Amino acid sequence: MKLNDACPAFELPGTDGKIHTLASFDGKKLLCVIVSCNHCPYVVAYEERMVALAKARAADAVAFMAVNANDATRYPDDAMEPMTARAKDRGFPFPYVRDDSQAFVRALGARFTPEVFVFDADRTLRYHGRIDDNHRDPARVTSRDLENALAALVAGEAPATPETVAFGCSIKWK
Amino acid sequence: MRSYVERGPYALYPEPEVTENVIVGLVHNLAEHGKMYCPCADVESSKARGHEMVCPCTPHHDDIKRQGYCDCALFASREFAAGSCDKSGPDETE
Repeated sequence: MKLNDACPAFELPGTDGKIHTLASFDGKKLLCVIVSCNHCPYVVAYEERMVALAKARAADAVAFMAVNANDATRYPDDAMEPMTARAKDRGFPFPYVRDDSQAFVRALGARFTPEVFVFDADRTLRYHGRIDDNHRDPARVTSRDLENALAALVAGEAPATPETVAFGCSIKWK
Repeated sequence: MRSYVERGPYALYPEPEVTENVIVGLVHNLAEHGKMYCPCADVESSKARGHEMVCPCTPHHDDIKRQGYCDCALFASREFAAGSCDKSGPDETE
């Protein structure tokens, strides 16, 4: 999808036992969707930053949702049960949902994990790409792309860099 | 990497920013773990699989056949690299 496109509809089960839809996030100023998974080393490296950012922006009515669409037949670690264990173990303060049909993630046009899509109050896409420029070492990050985009959008401004190239593991398509 | 692409049936994934990151990961794994383990796989699991997950890894042929590019998005079929495939993934009708 392109910048300013509308967020595709979804109805996805979460590790919290609930079904999550766009309406689940009504009232939130921003919705940050992170295409994620359990087994990718890039995601593992970013999980702590994802949690910290979600907690830091919760007071600004910024909602986060992680979605795992990887083919769980080939990658059993990405099935709902291991996802539930991961969410509990890492203390995810956001829904971690399973897109078994891969329809939502395909509609997003996602390719990698992690890959970020930030939607504004009208649920149009305002930022797409990477979390930052160094997954391996947070101390060596020079461009906090997601953090900067969220700060701009919370302030009612357009992100200076609304699109970056995401990198990570490829989504495991069926 | 270049010689593998020049001599083999595949191209590099068609986005330099993506492939650069993969190559940095490979170099990191070579320096830290002694082999160019795929950066898109857990290194400790890869070590347990011998040479299978050392780039160019054993599964990359099947990955490219299935989706047009390897799981790390380093190598791609020449058709994919030429832009004839949807970058978001394999055709659902396949």
